[in-house]
Amino acid sequence: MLGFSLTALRQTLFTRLSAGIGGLLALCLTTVQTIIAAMPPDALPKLRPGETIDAGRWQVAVQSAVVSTQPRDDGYRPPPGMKALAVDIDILNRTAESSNVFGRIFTIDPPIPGLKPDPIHYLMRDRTMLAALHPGLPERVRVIWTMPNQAPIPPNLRLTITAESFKPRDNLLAAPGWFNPKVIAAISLPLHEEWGGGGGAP
Amino acid sequence: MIRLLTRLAGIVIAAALLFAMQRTTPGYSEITGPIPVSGAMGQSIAARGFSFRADKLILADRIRWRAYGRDIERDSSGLWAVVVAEMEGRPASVTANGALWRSASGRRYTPSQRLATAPRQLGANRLEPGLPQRGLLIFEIPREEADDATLLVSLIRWPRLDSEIRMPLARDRTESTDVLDLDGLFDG
Amino acid sequence: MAEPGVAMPNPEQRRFRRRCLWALVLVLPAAFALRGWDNVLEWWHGKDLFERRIAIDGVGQLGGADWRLISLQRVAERPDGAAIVLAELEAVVREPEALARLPCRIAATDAQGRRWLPSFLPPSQVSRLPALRNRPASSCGPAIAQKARSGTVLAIRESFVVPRDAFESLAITISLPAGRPHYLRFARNP
Repeated sequence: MLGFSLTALRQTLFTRLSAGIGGLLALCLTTVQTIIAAMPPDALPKLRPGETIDAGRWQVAVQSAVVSTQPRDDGYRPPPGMKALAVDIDILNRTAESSNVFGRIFTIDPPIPGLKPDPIHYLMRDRTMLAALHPGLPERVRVIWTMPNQAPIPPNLRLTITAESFKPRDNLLAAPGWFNPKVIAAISLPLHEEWGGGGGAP
Repeated sequence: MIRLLTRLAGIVIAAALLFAMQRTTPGYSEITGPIPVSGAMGQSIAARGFSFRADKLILADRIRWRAYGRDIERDSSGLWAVVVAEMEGRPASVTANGALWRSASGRRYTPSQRLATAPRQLGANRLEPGLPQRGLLIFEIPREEADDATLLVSLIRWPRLDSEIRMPLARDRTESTDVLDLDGLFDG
Repeated sequence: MAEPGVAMPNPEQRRFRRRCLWALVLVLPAAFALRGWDNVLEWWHGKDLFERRIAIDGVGQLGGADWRLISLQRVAERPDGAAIVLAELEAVVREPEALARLPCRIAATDAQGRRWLPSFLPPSQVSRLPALRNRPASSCGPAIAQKARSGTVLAIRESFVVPRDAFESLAITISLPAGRPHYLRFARNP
C-alpha cells in the first residue's frame, strides 16, 4: 500500500516537474528578452567618410554631403523654393539579384526639420535617375533629399545605416529573402553649402 | 534492458527520418515555382503563352544608339551583354517582361534600365500572335559573370507555375566587340 | 500493441470506430466541396466556357445588353506584315447594374485559335480615317462603366494589330463578368 502511494507520488511529481521546467524555461527566456530590449542600445560603430561597410544587401561608402539651391552638374534641379541635400555614396549590390530597394539604407538621425522623406537616387555614371543596381557592379550614386529654402541647415549631418540579414528560407514561403532591418552604423558628415548656396535663411 | 534499447533506437530512427524529411521537403515557392523549358540558341522554343528564339549574343564594352537626334553612348564598369532574339505571343497577345541573365555563379540580372530610349528592346511592346518581334535583351554584367551563363525567359520576373525558358548561351554564337552600335544591328 | 493495463476496446467501441472511419468517405468529399465552393464559383464565372455563335450581322444578348457588330474593317497596313483592324460595336443597355461590372474582355480570334487583345490606337491615327471622324466611340471598359440607363445605345470601338492573312477568318469575341461562362462570338460563317 505504502509502496503504491510512493510510486504514484513520484509519478505526479515527475509530470508536474517536467511540465514546470518547460514553463520556467519559457519564463526565463522572455524575461531575458525583455531585459535586453530595455537596455540602452550599444553605441553604434562610427564610420569615416569614404569608409566601406557591408550593410546587408549593400556595400556602401558614404563620401560627402552638400546642400545647394542651384541646378547642378548632374542635371538635377531642385523644385522652386526648395533646396537639395545631396549625399554622394559608392554602392555595390552584394546579393544575387538585381535590386531597386536602395531607398531604405539611410536614415537622417537626428532628423532635419522640413526635410522631405523619400530621397531621389541619381546614377552619376549616366546623370539620370537610378533604376536598379546589379550584383557585382559598383556605382557612384547621389542621394538627394529636398527641403524648403528657409529651413536652417545644421553644421553636421548624421546618417544611420540600416542593414537586413539574409534568410535562405523564410517562414511563410520557404523562399530566400532579406529580413529584420537593423541599424548597424552611423556616420557624421560636415554639411557644405555649394553652388552659390546663399539661398538659405539670412 | 533490450526493450529500453529498442525504444531508444526507435526514437533515434524516427528523429532521423523526420529530420531528413524536413530537409528534403521542397518549399512552397519551389513547388509553385517556374516550370522549366530547356532549349538551345538558334532553335525556336515554344513556352506557354509565347515562343522565343535567340540568335546570337554580343558582348560589348560600350553601346551606342541614336535617339531624338542625339547620339547616346553608355559605358559600364562591367560588360554589356546584348542578346539578339525573336519573340512571339502564342496563342494570345502577351507582354513579356521576365528575361533574366543567370550567370554561372547563380546571380540573376534583370535587363538594364539604363537604356530607356534604346531601340528594339524586347519587353517594351506587346507581342502579337503571328507577328514575331525581332529585338534585343540587354544586360549589364560584371566581366567575370559573362562565361557559361543561362538566359531565362518568361512572361513575368517571378513566374509561378508557368513556363520559364532556360537557354545556355553558347560560345560559338557569342561575339565580342568594343563599341556596339544598336541601330546598326537591324540595318539590312 | 496494447500496453498492459490499457483496456481493449469493447465491441461497441469498435463498431463506433469503424463507423467513424466509414463516415470519412462521406465527410471528406463534403468538406472539400464546402471549402472549395467559392473557388468553383469563381472559376465558373471567370472562364469563357460556352460560346454563343452570332452571325456577323446578328444581335447577341450578353451581360445585360444586346450586342451588335457594326463593322469589322482593315484600316491600315504596316510594313512588317501587320494590319490594323477596327471593330465597331453597339450595345443596347438592358440591365445597367449587371452591365457595369468590369472588366470587359473583347478579343479578335482567327481560325487557328490565335487571339489578339485590343491595342491602343493613337487618336491621330483614328482621326485620319474619314469614316470615323464624326462618330464618337470609346473602348469597352469606359463605355460600360458609365452605367448608362436602360435603352441607351453605347458605341464601342476597339482596334487590333493582326497579321494581314488573319483578317479573312477574323471573329470578334465579347466576354463580360455578368455573362460568363457564356461569351459571344461574331463570326462571318457561324
